[in-house]
Parts: sequence; structure tokens; C-alpha cells
Amino acid sequence: MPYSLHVLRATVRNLLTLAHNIPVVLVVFLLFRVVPTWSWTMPAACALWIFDSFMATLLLGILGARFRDVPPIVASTLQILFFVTPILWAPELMKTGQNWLLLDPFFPLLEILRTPFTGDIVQAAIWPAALAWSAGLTVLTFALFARMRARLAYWV
Amino acid sequence: MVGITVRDLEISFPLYHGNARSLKKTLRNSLSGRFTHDERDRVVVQALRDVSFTLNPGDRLGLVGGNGAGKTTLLRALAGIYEPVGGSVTVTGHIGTLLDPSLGMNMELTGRENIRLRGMFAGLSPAAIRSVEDDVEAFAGLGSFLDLPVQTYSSGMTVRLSFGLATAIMPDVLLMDEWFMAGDASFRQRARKRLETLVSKADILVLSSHMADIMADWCNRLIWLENGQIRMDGSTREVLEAYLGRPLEEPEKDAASPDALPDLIQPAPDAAEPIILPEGLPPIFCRALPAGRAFSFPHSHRVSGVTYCPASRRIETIRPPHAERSIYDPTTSAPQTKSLFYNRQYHAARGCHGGHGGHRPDGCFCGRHAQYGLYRAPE
Repeated sequence: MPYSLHVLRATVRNLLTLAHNIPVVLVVFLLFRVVPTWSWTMPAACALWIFDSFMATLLLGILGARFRDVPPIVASTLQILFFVTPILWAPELMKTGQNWLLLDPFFPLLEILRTPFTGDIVQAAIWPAALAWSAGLTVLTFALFARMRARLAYWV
Repeated sequence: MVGITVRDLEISFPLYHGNARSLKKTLRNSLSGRFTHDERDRVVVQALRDVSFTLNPGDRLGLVGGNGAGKTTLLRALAGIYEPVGGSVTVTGHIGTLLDPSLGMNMELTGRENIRLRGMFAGLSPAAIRSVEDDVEAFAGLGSFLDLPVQTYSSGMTVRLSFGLATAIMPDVLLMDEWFMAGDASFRQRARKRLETLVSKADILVLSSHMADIMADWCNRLIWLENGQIRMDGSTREVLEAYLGRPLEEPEKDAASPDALPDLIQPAPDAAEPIILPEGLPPIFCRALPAGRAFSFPHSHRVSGVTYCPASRRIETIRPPHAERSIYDPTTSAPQTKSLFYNRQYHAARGCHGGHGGHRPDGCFCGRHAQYGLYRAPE
């Protein structure tokens, strides 16, 4: 069995879990009368999300097999990124240095999907940043996987 | 072409413990620079070293050795679970493994769903999956439990189901670990019967076991592993005798006496024509068998047997006990030594399913080719 099968299983499982949140989004949209504007970027953003989650799962899976402290590290890093990334707050609240947000990998990825839904206009730098982060993640994951694939069975 | 080639196989396990399992400490050590460790500073267990062998269709390899000798590791390396640290492992053919009882079982699915899952994994058609389902249902005898999730099963039920499932799909190369011989007595008997069918249909068998009698029965070649290295590689008998440190007892000598022979092996009738075998073997007489009657030796009758296949005009001799089967091809007159076991390719090449009458794999005399019963020469 190829290792990617296990990664795909985890990805699909998490996607299904994520799909359970769709009703919440619908209710919120109804309450606040948000009308999503259709754009071609929506499916593209979804595809990029799925691809990235596959890559991130693979990367963390390799690291997690080797190092036991990876899950807590991931959990605490996510916690920090959750507050740093404009999820609960809007980027417009920042008076200066909004461009620094592009250094947060989650921000461009979040923006490419959120802006079409809320009808905002996406900044010019967002898509290149999202693609650059994804490419970086892919290269890193692929390099690590190519190097460590033969060793994986010895770690678990 | 089914085959296994192992060249200079080396497998070693790094032992990670304590700090080596922590990303934080590993990073800190590599960044601080002053208290670095040597890259090689880790405990490594050498599981296998310099293991080389080649298996061809018809080979039945047994692995013997004490605990920790590397038997299971070698099986896992053959199955492709461990990639070799050094050397190479090349396996051609469809592999079936009986290594782990719960392999490929999803505890949350029902027994029936697990059967389907395995069938789909093996790439079977829906019809084939259904027949596997019936087969496993009959073997495991779980009744209505088959429709309940596997996690509600007792451990014995799980073993019955997984064993039935693992042995339901016929592979070319069968890898087997010793736990398959465990279980309670009545199950073991049924299991053994089922295994024998599977073993006889596989082209290559690699088996790891402690049981000398199973080795003697099923294998025609043994490798004795010690401390991860091949200590001895040879025929079943010579390796087993060296391993056990005593000669093998001659199995069931009395059964080979003429009065215990099956009725097919009788003094030749007058009308029979002698076939003169090469290399000074005694002349053999043959007579046509009733149509469709298979020629078989039950397990207990390890007699010198000969079959003559008019289709291929070849004479096959069998020398007891568990020696090789020699095939004499009159056209080339070069004797080839073949495994005693059922040779699927031989019959498949002739468009014959090769069902065999005996309940032992080596009692394989396909009814379609062995149209001649062969008899001992009159004393």
C-alpha cells in the first residue's frame, strides 16, 4: 500500500468533518444577509485548500512518525496562528503593515476563499502569496518524503 | 515469471528513545553547536546482514532460527514493508501475506464489510467477492455475528475471520509467519487443511515456523538464520537435522509397505506394457485408468510413484519421502528436478485446471493428464 493512501484517508476524513460546518456558515450568511458573489476563484481556492491539506498532512505525518512531540507543537502553533491570522478580526483594523500578514501562511489561503464569499475585493498580492506558500509547502514535503520514505516503516 | 531475488540484504533498526524522539531537543542540539552528538550516535540493531538467495517457481522455503534471528524481519522485507537499508529485494508476482492477523481489518466495519473491503483491495470482481464472502462465511462459522462490527467479536472469532479472509484469495507468492499454526485443536485442523490448499496453489512459499514437522512436510528448502545472517541454506532434511541436532525420524515407514499401498499401486497386470525409465530406474508398468479418475496418493502413502503424461509424453517419478519430483522428458532426456508439490504452471500451460485427488498437495496428479495408472514392477 502506498503511504499516500493513509494521507488521503486522513484528508478525506477531515474534509467530511469540515463539511459538517457548512450549515453554520449558511445560517450566519442568512442572519447577516451576506450574498456570496460567484467567481471562478472559488473552486480554484477549494482545490488549492484540498491540495495543501494533503501536503500538510503528509509533511506532519512524516514528522510525527519520527518525533513524538510534533502533535503538541502543532497544536500550540495552530493556537498562536489562529489569533495572529485575521480570523476573528479584520485585516483593515491594522493601521500599518498590513503587508506583513502575507508572511502568515494561513492569511492568503484564508483570503482567497473568504473574499469571494463575503463579496470583498481580493488584494492583488493575495493569490501569488497563496500559491507561493503552497509551492513552498509542496517542495518541502516532497523533498522530505523522497528522502524519508524508505525509513518510515522503521519509525512506527 | 514469478520469482524472488534477494541480494546482500541488510536491514537495521535505529532505536530512537528519549531525546532522539523529540523534535525540540533535536533542533536545539543541532543549533547550539557545542554539545552536538555524532551523527552515528544512535543505537542500531542489525536485524539482517548479507542475506542472499533466489527463489524460483515451485520453491517452498522455510525459515528456521531462534527468537530474534530475523525470520519475521526477512518476511517483512520480502513483503515490501521494510525497504532494504543495503542490498536489494526483487519480487515478481502477486504477493499474499499471512503475517499479521488483523492486517487490513477495520474494527468498526462488520465482518461482511471487511470481506468486501479485502476483495476490493485485491481487485476482485463483484462476483468473485461474493464467492469469497461465501467461502469465508462457511469457514469462519460466525453465523449472524458476520453482520456485526468486528470490535464486538471475541478474539477467537477475530482470528477465525481474519484467517479465513487471509486464505481466501490465492496469491502467487505466499509469505507466512508462524502464528498461523496457532489456535485451538479443532480450529488448527481445519486451518491446516485450508492452508494446504493455499500452499499447494502458490508458486512460491516462504514460511517461518518452529515446528519441524510442518517444515518437513511443506518445504523443500530451508534457510537457518542466526543473528541476522544465514547460517545454513540447503535441503529441508539436512538443515533440519543440523538445526535440531538430531536425525529426523523417518516418517511413517510402515505406510510404505506394499500392503498399505493405495489400490492404484498394485502389481502390474499381465497386459501392462513396461516403460523403461532412464538412469537405471526399475521398469514401470502402466495401465489406462478409468476415465476421469484421478491418480492420487493419500498423505500416509509415501510410495515411489510414477506418472506418465501422454499429453506431454513425460514421465514423472517421485522418490520418498519428500524428495524431488524428477521429470523425464523423453525428447530431451535431461532430467529436471522439480518440487514435489503441485506444479500449477505445468498444468496451466496445458490448459488444465489440475484438480488433484489426494488431500495432500504432493498428491497432485491431475486427472486429465495422468490417464495411466502406474504400477510397480512385479517382484
